[in-house]
Amino acid sequence: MPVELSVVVPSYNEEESIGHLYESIVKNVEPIGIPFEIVFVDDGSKDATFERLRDIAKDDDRVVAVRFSRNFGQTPAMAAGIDHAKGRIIVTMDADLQNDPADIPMLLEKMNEGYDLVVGWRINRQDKAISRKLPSIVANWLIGKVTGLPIRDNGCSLKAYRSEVIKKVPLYSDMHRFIPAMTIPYGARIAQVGVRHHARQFGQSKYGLSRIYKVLVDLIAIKTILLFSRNPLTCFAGIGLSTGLIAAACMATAMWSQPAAGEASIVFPTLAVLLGSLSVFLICIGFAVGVVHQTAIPNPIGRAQPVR
Amino acid sequence: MTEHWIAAKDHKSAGSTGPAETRGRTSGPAPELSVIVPVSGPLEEAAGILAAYRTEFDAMPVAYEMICIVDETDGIAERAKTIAADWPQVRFVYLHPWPGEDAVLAAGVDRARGKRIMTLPAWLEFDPSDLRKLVEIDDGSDLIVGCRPRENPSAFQRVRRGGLHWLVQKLFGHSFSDLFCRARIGRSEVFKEAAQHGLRQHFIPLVAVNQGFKVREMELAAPAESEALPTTGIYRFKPIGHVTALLDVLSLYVTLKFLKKPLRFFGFIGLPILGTGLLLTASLILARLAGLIALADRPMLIFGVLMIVLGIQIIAIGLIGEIIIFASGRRAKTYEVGEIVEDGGISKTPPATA
Repeated sequence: MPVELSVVVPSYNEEESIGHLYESIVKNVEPIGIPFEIVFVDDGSKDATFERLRDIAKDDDRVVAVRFSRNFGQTPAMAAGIDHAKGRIIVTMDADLQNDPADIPMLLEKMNEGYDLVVGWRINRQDKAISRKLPSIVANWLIGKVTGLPIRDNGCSLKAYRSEVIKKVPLYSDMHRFIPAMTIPYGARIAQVGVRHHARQFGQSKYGLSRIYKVLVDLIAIKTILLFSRNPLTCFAGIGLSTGLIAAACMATAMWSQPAAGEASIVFPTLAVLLGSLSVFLICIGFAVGVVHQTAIPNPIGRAQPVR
Repeated sequence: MTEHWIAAKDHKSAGSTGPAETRGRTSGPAPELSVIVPVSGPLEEAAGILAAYRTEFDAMPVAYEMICIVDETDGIAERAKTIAADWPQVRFVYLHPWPGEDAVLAAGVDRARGKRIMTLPAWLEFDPSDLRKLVEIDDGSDLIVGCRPRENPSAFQRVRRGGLHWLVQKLFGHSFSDLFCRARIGRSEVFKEAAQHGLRQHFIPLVAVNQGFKVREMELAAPAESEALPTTGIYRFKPIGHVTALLDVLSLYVTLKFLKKPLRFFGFIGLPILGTGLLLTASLILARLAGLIALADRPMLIFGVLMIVLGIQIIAIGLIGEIIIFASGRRAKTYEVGEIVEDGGISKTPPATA
């Protein structure tokens, strides 16, 4: 029977949590009564995580354990889990027991309403207020504003995807934070549900506060990618042409203004040349991007099945 | 560049099949260890050191292959054949024109079949009896690099080495006491990873450390003075070489740190410039609006706008990078699987990706 549901769990140094997590997933998913698998990805852990996984996989053939040859990071781990998942629906979650597998049935119900992507948001977030929650609130607000997709909680790993959608989304660098936004070009329909959140029981949190610059710059990148996925040339050429207009205005000012006797102003002609060159540069970039775009137009996902 | 390829066994059939067909032919089961020796000078000079290496390797209980990459000059094939005649483990690769040692090593890594790869110089850099130490060490390291004993370096050498050491330490957070030792042994993945970043042989340990591999250094004994064997490579002082080396260090740094996130690098340069420009221009315009000064005779305005233009250009380059990365995002390999356990505990090692 083909696998319906794949639960993907990237894990790094989680030897204490992994067994509990496995039991909890099985306990909550088995009653749904669909064929499922659990894909654990060990991101080059330095502790006994993979030995635990090997034992689990030995006793349960629904478990797939993938070990990286070394530590690659959270996004590659998630990408590997998704690549190795065979299910029609893919649910991702953290291995640190902060997400509760008891929420998986709810996510599935929501998926069956016809969504391509169901994003969890943590109702009672159990983290330190200043160092974790506040930056996250600001970041989520900013991400929502910039991408036009108001996701309440981008940092929550508990999400469900239709496999054909998520397998098309490029996952690299720290992109896991922006997966919902990255599915916009593919025309995915997105729902949000509140999920439980527990305080960390074992191990250390793997995040810090020092990522504001990264998130900001990534946001500019995402915005560009989203813009260009709709209209590659207009994005750059539009800015280029408006710069050109300002340049022309400067030139006109320089031509028509009558400098007082004995003082010839070079400020406006110089500005005109500067801005004019910037305009040419940006339009050229627009063309370059157009060429790249030819190879990378995301095809919106086809709707073979009617929405249930 | 022409290139062909003769394995010891292929010699007998070379006449009938021709070099094009013998290229890439592999004979026998894959060896455990592939040794790559680039020979840039005449083969006669290297023959002695090759023989010295052979004595050591033959005494070891390890299945090895020796990949000897030589500059194809007149009559070299004959000499290679005499060496290969009674040495089944050796294979000669001919390259012409000589593309430089880095490209040569990359070609060797490309052809190596062993699980482990070793690179060795074609001159006596250390005591060959240390080879056994290098090959047999097994402490979980992914790469072991040799470290030559220091005789008295000249002041210039000391300054140069210190400078490089400092720069590498600053950029990569990790440095090695002897980046220029050509004796290295490690898992083939390490070398293949380094080859992906454009193999600069002296930076192999840096790439390896940066990608999370375990690297250790090993002191090698100084070679015994020998009349027959050359003890140094051909060294010429090249000022341009220092500049290219510096640029290579910097570009390696950018590649390793920002390959997937070009905007983080360009934004780091471009955003402050853009910010300065915007602030300057805004203050001037505000002053003009308040009627304090005229815009037309303020060269500062040119400076401000120039900063804006420069900032936008630098950021735009980063954005192009982001778009290219996004466009190739699904194809690019972002991880490497070591092992998969599924179907009730059946362990599979994924096939090595070429």
